[in-house]
Formats: sequence, C-alpha cells, structure tokens
Amino acid sequence: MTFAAAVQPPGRVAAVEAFALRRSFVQGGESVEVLDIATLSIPPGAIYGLAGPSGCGKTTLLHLCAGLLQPSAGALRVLGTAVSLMPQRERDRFRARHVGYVFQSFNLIPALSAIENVLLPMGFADAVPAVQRRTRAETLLRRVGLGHRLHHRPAALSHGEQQRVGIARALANQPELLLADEPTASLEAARSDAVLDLLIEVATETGAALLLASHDARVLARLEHVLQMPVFNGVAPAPP
Amino acid sequence: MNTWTLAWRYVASRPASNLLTALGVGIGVLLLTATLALTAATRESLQRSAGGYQLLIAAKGSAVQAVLSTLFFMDAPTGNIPISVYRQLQADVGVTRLVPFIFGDSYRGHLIVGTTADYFALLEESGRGPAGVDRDSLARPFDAVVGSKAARQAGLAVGSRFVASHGLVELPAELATEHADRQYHVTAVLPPTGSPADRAIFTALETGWLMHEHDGDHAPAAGASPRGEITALLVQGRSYGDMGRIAALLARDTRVQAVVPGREVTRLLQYLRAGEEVVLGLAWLATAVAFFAVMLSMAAAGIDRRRQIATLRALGASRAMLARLLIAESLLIAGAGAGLGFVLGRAAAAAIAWHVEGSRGFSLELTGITPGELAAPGAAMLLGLVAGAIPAWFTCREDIVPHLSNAP
Repeated sequence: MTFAAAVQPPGRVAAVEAFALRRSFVQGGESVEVLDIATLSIPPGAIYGLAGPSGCGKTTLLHLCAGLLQPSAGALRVLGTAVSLMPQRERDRFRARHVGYVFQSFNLIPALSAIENVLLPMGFADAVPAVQRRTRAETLLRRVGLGHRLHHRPAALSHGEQQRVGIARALANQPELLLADEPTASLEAARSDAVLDLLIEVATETGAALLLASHDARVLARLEHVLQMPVFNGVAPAPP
Repeated sequence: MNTWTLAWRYVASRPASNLLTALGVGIGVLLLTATLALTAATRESLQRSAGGYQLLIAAKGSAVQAVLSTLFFMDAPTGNIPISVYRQLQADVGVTRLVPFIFGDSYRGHLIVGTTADYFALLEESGRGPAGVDRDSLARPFDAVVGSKAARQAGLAVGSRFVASHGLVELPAELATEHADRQYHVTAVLPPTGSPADRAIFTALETGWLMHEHDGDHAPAAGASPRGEITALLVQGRSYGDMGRIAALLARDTRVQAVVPGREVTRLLQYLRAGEEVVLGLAWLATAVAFFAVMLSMAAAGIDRRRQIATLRALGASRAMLARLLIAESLLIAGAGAGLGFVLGRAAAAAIAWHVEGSRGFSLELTGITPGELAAPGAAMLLGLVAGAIPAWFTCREDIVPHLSNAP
C-alpha cells in the first residue's frame, strides 16, 4: 500500500518516512506478515491517526518508528534518521531523546510518584540539564492539569489522571515525534475526549508530530489525517 | 532520577519479601561474622594468655590441662609436684625467673592462687599484666591481691576481709566453715588486664600450705597442696638452650612434665580449627542459600515487572541501564542483609563471649574488626552482585514488545 506524502515544510525533515517497509512474525512455525507499506511520509509536526482493526499492524508501525522492532525488509527513517540501521544502544538513545510514547494502559511505574514518573525518561536522554529537570517535570504536570497531584502515586490517581501523567512523561525530553497507542481506549468517553484534546494541544504547542493508533471512529474523526491500515490475514481492509 | 534512587523505590515497594530476603543474607553474614570474631578472640586470648611463656612444669598428665589450669585458671590441675623441683630450679643458673603456683581454695567462684610477686613481674614483663604491683602485697600469708573482675563480682576492695571456701565449689554458708578462722586480707586490687589474672585472687604461696595444715581430718581439696608440694611452676630462662636442658632433665622424673605453653596452645587452636571449619562451612552454606534467595527474588521481580521493564525500554532505557537497575536492587537487598548481619554478628559474638566468660571463666575480648570479618559482608555483596546480574542478563535479553501490550 502507498500513503501519499503530505506537503512538507521546507527545512524540516519528515517525521516518518518508509519505503517498501515490511514486518513479519513467526507464529506457529509460519511467517505471518503484519505490515507491508510501499511508501509512507509523515511531515514534521503533523497529526496522523492510524486506523484499522486489531492485528492490522498499527502497533507494529509504532514499534518500528520507536526502534523497538526492526523491519523485516525495507527502509524506515524517523526524523531523518535511519533508525533501523542504528546499533541498539544508539536506537535506545534516539528513542529516549526524540520519541515520546503514550500507552493505552498508561504504563506508569507504580513505585514512583507522578513527578518521578515524568522525571524518569529525562535520566535516559540527558536532553534536559539536571538542574532544570524537576522544574520541567512540574511545568509539564501543571500543563496537563495535575499541578496538585505531583507527589501522588499512580494507584492514587484516576485513569484519566494517569493518562495525563503518561502524556507529561512522553513530553519529558521535548520529543519531535509523539507515538500514542490507543491512548483513550482505557478511558470513559468524557475523559477520552479530554485526553485526546490534551494530546492534540501539546503536540501542536511543541511542534511534535503525533502518530496515534486507534480503532475508535470518534477519536479518528478528530484528527487531521487518518491512515487506514490494511490487514494481511485475508480480511479486507475496513472502509475509510 | 538515578539508578540507585529508582532501585531503592523498587526495593521499598516490596518491603515484606525484600526484608525476608535480606534477613536470609543477614543470617549467613551473622553466622560468618560471629564465628570469625569469636575465633579471632579465642586465638588472641589463648596466645595472649599462654604465648611467650617458656616452660611450664606440672604434674604428669594432660599437657593441655596443665596449661588451662595454670595459665587460664580454667581446669583442675593435673596434680602436685614436689617442692624439690622448685628448689632445684631456683639453684639453676639458667633460670632467670621462677613462679610457683598452689591452687586449692576459692571465694565466690574465684580461684585463690598461691604464688609469689614474681608472677606479677612476669605478667608485666610479657606485657600481659599490670605494671608496678607492690611486691609487698603478697608479703604475708593471707594477704590477697584481687583481680579486677574478681573484685567487682565478689565485692572486694583494699582492706576487705573474707573467708575462702574449701576447693573450687561454692558451698552454702552453714557448710563453708572449714576456714572460718582464717581470714584473707585484701592488700591490692589489680587494674583490668584482659587476662585470666582479672578473675583470680592471688595470695602468698605460704597461705595454701597453712590452710591445709589446719584441715585436720579433712582430705585436701582437689589440687590443694600439702607443705612440700606445689601445683605448678612457670620458668623463664636465659635462653631456649637452657629451657631445653631443663626440660630434658625433668623428663627423667616420672612425677613431672615440662610443657611449652605456646606449643600446647597451638595444638589447642588446631582442635578449635576443626570446629571452626564446621561452623564456617555451615555459615557459608547459609550464605549460599541466601544467594539463591536473592537471585530468585530478583528473577521474580524481573518476571513480575516485565511490563514495567518493557515500559522503561520504550522510554529509552538501555539494556545496560536496566541491568544496572536490577543489580542495584540486588545489591541494596544484599547490602542491607550484610550490614544487618554484620552488626548482629558482632552483637551475637559479644553476647556469646560474655556468656562464655560468665559460665566458663574464659576471657574473650572482641578486639578490632578482622579482615576475615569484613570479608563476610564483602562476600555477601559480591554474591548479591552475581545474584542480580544473572536474572538481569536474562531479563534484559527478553523481547519486550509482547509485554508492552495493552492489557492493564
């Protein structure tokens, strides 16, 4: 499949570029292809939704963009960098420095408070000077409306609040690419809207590209662009 | 947030299981520390109390028993030796100092030792005893010089008078009447020396003979010496050649034995070494079990926290960082156990030393921390490092993607 490239502002590299990108997994002794993208280009600062049913490769694409998975074939450039060709250690540093990840189930560290969860990735990237980290973490948590919950642990926070901490954590190292995997799927509708609004706002404010995987039509309808992912298990892609 | 802070947070988030694991490490280190501390104290005490004496002359019997009874005041003497041996050695030009002993009576559990002021001079010369004890303190029969602990425990001070019990067993007051007409007079109290002298009461050699000349129809107590006999002799000579000559000379006498105390102490230490090895073996076994407990705990933590570990990787933590995190956790647990075990081990050793001294009269002074004792917590930390590194290696090699899935 081919995704048409949007107009790219001059002087800035695309957030994500892929060419003949394929990824397959071995299941039950057989190779199952879950992703096959002919070309893909996501401009910097753009907000894209990844649509499609479960198993269509949305999460796999996010993992590839984050450098958590390696392509089976093809080329992938993230923020102008051929992530798949980097040694693992450099991929880790690249991810820490340039990519923010928001999970469906928040994935906060239960032993840490909200502010410590936000401070955590700063220690992995060295993008923020050590003396400024706490201030930045507080600022981010205030930005997501949790200035009064800085020292609460995840167990003491509602789901909506936990996802806000997750968003603040994803922004900790000022990433140019935000990846969100079903970020509202664990939330009630009202909280889902608020969290989605927040994600779009902070991505716009920071100029980060946002790639958001969801199978929720309400969520996808709010996004500027939606990429309809095909499935490769013999079921036809869902209509756009 | 650095690795140690994060590791501490994780450790603190599972207080019960981590405390139990640390206690397991602590028990191993406790056993090692206590055993090593007590062994060092025993060796030090034996060498301090018996090393350096050139020759001990005692009645035929166990050489170790002769050393324990004469130098440590712990065991019953092997018997008495003729006074003629004392006279013979007094006339020997190769002898520079000669200390006779008579044992027999006691006061409130403290042995009364008949000797001469040369004993204190010998203690002073060898660095074991108090300096400047007045030679006149034992000038008259029934003068008593009291060791520091004996004085404290028996409530004696200079000027005190007391009546001794016959033999080494404390009898009820109504039965302990044998020596009621013979009162001892305390002329001096020795300062603490850390030697067996602290527990004993010293009197003139003559006192022992006078006491038992008045025993009448009583049989002499075990070790009590009738006039014409003494219990033992410590001999210092001009040279080891003289000591060898004297030992050879006395070897012809079937009633006496010449013992080199240092040699007997070495033999005694060899016996103790066997016991020490058994206890140390058990302690190392306990430490090894604790090692596996730490390793299992860290492996369990790795499995329980797969999703969190995957999350940390997704946030940019490298495998090396995660390995350091798991190892740091392991070190914190092992370190807490090692520290606790070390402190409790020293405390246990002190308690056992106190008990041994109270029940056996054998002075064990825990001195400085030996390198061996430091090796115990050090080894525990090293094992903690390995116990963390093994599960860390497996955890960090695991594919994280399946654990980033969306199940809450």
